[in-house]
Amino acid sequence: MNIAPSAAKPSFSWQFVVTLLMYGFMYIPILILAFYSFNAERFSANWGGFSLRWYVSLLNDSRIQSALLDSLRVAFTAVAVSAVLGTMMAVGLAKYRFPGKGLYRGISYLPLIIPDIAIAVATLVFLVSIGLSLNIWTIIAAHIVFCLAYIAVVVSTRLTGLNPHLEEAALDLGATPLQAFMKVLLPELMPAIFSGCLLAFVLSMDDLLIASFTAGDGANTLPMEIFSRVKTGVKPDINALSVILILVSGFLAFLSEYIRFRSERRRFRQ
Amino acid sequence: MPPTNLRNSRLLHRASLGSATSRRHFLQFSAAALSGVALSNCARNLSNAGSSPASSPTNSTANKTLHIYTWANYTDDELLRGFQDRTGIQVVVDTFDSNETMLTKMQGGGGKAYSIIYPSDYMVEKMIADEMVAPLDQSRLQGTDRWLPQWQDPVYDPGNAHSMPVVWGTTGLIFDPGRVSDPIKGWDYIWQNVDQLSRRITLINDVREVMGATLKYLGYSLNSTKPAEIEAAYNELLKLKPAIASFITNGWEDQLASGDLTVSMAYSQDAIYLIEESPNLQYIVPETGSSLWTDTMVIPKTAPNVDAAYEWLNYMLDPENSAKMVERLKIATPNEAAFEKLPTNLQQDQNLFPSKAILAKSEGIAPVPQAITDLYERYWTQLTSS
Repeated sequence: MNIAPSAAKPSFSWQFVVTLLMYGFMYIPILILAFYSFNAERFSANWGGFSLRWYVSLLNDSRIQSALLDSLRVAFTAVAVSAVLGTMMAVGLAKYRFPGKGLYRGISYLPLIIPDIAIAVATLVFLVSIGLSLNIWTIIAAHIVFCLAYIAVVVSTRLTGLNPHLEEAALDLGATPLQAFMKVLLPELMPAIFSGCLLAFVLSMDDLLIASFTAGDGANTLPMEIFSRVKTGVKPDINALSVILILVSGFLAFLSEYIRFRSERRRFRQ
Repeated sequence: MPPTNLRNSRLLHRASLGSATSRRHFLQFSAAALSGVALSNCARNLSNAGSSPASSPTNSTANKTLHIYTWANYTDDELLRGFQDRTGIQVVVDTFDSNETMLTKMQGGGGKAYSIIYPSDYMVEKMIADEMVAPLDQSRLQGTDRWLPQWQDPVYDPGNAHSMPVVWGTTGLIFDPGRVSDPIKGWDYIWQNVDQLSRRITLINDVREVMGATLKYLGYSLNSTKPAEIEAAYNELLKLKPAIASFITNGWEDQLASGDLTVSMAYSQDAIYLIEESPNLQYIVPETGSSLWTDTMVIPKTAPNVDAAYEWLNYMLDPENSAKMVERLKIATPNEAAFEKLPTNLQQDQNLFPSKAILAKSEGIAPVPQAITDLYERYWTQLTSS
């Protein structure tokens, strides 16, 4: 589709300014953080020269590393489980009619609006009353609750924009329901599932309250470790850690986009 | 800077709601209050009904592990390894970020695995009142007779009957000696130099700390309950108003290091940490005395492994271990025997261990009657909002 270009664009449009402001608003704090992670000084007020000392101190800090591992373990497991369940839930809600459907939909999205602290305390009380002992799996279970809701919401919005006849056409052409789902519906939903997963992953990595209340048996997520350290002082090695995390997640996002791009090109060629 | 203004939830109970407590604090606080009343009862009933066997889990393995619930930085690998070498008991450490989180989790029944918890002074008092902690069997502890005088009979737990003090600190002033005209010894410097200090000092965002420091400066008790004294303290603080840049507990560090601030009121732990990075700064405990805060160890009533808990307490009471812990983690111990084992440079470190003369003038912040609390709060609101 080609929109006729509007007559000679001004070189400095207001759209450009707004875009620049928005990007600045989003990314300048991150750039500053990255910049100061190389500061030899403890305080951002003074620039003490380039140094990798905070990266070295991060490497020597086994507690931070184990906390990071716990966080990643929780986030990956919770997101993986929620991706499957959330997609199934969204598809099921879109496809089928059953009594109490509205109520089901409403309840399943509740974790989006209930404050974290309420989920945290309720989950704790529930876990205790059924006699489960707390460990890393209870954090994962609690995180699945809200990850599920986020992924389901994102997938649902994508589903409403899809052409419902595509799947029916596949069925008409002799695909089994499973094949139709896997080969027609799922590829169409993939971008939504993926962005839902990213959103849920970030929220899971970020969560302090729910993890605090459901952790046990030595499981200690990154936010718990950092906030507990605030009492005795947080060092800029946290900045270094953030930079590493941003780079790694940026790389992962790039990689997945690249794979998607390649597969899409292949699809167009066929 | 990493997140600021959060550390101080330890003292949240004293902060007025009118002051700038963050949203998260408020949530934690209300959660503690709400769930404490409503949910814990229901949880307790449910769990008591269903899980009496769960409280005595597989004995053979349980005796080999001790779960403790503490602040990050109060333990390290060396400490845990030493304990395992000595007793064969493996320690699993979980951390909390505020007393309120810890309390809520315990009340919700999520702390059944823990045999040792590290609450702060005011929280010990609350937990004793709520009958959450077991009295300590003094006959099973060795070396409890060597506390520094301030911890022999603390206000929060008379006779240390339920708790064992483990870390303490003071509140004082931190500044760059190169930037002040004469050496600062105490609060009088601030009042005498209000004109030069225009918007160049910060005070801790806590009513009892600030009012208490002023009461001390005037020669009254930190825990004064006399309205006339409290009013006098308020009037003194009013004179200081032009010099106060803000009331913040954390977050002054950058500005102080760069010289935008001249003096900040700070907790010793923050100050010690800061001075390690900026050795040009200096921390003093005002000569008129300061407030003392204490973090303690208690055994909850639900402790699954009481024997290991006593082993741990004895291990921490051991002067050798305490002394090494002070050296590594830079935290002050109330154990006099451990203090004597410290290298001289740490013993003379006035930031960690203020002189006995100053200590003798210092007090812990004790609860006051509700009417007096309201009075404190009213003056505090007038002070911080005017």
